[in-house]
Amino acid sequence: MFFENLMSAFMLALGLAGTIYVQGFTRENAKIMPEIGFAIMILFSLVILIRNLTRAKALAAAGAAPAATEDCEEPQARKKRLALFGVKMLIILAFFLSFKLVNYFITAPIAIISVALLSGVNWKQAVFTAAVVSAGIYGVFILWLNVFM
Amino acid sequence: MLEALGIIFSLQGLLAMWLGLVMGIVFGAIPGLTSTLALSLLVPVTFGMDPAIAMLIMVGSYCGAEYGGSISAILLGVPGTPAAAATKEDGHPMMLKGQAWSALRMSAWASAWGGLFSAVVLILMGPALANLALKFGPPEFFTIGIFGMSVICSLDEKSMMKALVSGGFGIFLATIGLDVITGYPRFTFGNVNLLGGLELVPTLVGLFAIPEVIGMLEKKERGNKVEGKLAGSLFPTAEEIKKTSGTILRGSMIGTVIGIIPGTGSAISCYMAWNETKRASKHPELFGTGVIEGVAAPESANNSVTGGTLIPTMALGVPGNSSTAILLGALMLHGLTPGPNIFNDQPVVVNCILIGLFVVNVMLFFTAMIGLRGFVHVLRIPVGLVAPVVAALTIIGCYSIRNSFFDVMTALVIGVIAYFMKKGGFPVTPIVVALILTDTVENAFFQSMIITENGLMIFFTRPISLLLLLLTAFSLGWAVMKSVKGKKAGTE
Repeated sequence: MFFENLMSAFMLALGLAGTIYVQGFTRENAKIMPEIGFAIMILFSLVILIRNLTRAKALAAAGAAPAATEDCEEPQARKKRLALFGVKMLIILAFFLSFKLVNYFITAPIAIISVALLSGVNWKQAVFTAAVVSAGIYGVFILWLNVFM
Repeated sequence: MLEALGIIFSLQGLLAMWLGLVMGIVFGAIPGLTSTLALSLLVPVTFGMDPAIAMLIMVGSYCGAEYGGSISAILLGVPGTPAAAATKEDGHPMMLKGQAWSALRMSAWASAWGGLFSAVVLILMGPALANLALKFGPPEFFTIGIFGMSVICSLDEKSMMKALVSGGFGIFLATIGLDVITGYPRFTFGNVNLLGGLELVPTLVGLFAIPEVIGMLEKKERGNKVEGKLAGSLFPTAEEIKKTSGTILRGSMIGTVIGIIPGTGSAISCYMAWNETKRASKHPELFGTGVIEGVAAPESANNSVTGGTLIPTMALGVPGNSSTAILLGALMLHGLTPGPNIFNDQPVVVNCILIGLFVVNVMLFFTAMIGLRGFVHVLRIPVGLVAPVVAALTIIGCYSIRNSFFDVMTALVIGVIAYFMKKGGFPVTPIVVALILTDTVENAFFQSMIITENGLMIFFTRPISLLLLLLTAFSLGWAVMKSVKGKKAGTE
């Protein structure tokens, strides 16, 4: 529900901002299609938000406890998992952002090994996969250049 | 036709189909990886290739992934793809009874026949569609686009409204860049990289591959243990063939018809085929306990969907599901315009796809059976290892097309938005459908307005256009009815 509301609010905000922005277009015909897209986004994300709000209010009025989630993970374990997820995401993000600076034949194996180790994969398997993928990247380029081009 | 046959049976053509097939089977077999992901990773790889070869790889991968899901469904009881969900019902019990090889062999056999059936239907329909194409003008293209967009309403079974929001977002993304009719820059904010619009490859990769990678990083699953004896003859026994021939034919017909209807797909067809086979059986009570017909029916259905979905994709430019949306994107990336005219404008590529689909399905059976022990090994790969590999391939794929860091960033931004959309239950396929069709709708509408000097009646006075509008109304009505029914069922 949280992500549903979050994305509905995001789409609503984007739709509203876009509608205002397209009013500045000097060519009338260029406005039509974006306006249709934004109108759809605004209308239906608003309906979703209102529906969720009404449901939440009705539940609160009835004094019902929030629906139990399937997640029965302990808080400590959950914290650890999320922290690990954060670190893995940071590594992938760093891989994305370092693309312009460092050759990806160097960064790709580093990213693969570090994320794999953090995911609990044994180091031999991680290093082997990184080597295979790096060789595969070269292989794809060689195959691509020599066979298919 | 001869030129297409020459390409297909060249070393390049055969190798392309086989590589695509193997990649598809591997991606289909690993639970969590889908044909959509395999295809989105292949788009950048095939970018510089000859369009016919590129499409052969993509078709191979599409068919391979539809089949590959059955390997994990049978051996682990976890369908590798949604299309293999029904295969699990009887496939896994067969494995538990010590008949793993028999189930896997039947799955490959039925998949191949299902795919061949739909390929024949596609080949037979090709000339008729080419003739129809000659009658198409801007009003027909506009109504086709509108019909395609109406499919968005059926693309999410859970919530039509969320699918529509995604569609609206797709329209917005499609309008970024220079407006083709007026030449006016829209949402470019002075950035020259955006003048040509969003690049298709990073957008597709962002929408389909990056959310999968982030999702995989969240999980802490280890590799699977695979049990079951994998040895036996290559071909099914005469008794098995006799038992399942009718089932395979029924499944193939169901799959092809379901595939032709945009917005449905293989997950529905496989359950429908399984159910129909159970209904027609003399011993329906045995279904779910491990009967071979229970494997043959869904597998023939989900692979016959491939040919079925290619009919609206190529003939109308309307993608039936997320995989064909990517195929459509790949066609556009190679400068081909999907839609009725493709049959006359690009006969070689079209014939390669039609005949290629046939050949790929013959290859599928032999590749699957000979390489089965190897494919089983991929089930042991831990998700923690797959995620960074897919991430690396994703990024390199985006970058290699134009050596542009902007494309990498585009994929990242769209990927993060798509991840949160998926978390919130918003489907991403409508984004691609809208992204592909918006240009057609906008251009065809303005061309029609120029022809008629702003007369809207043109859409109602031309027979094909009127028929497509009626189909649109039917498609919308059906989607609304389905949504209302679904809600009623949910409240009961």
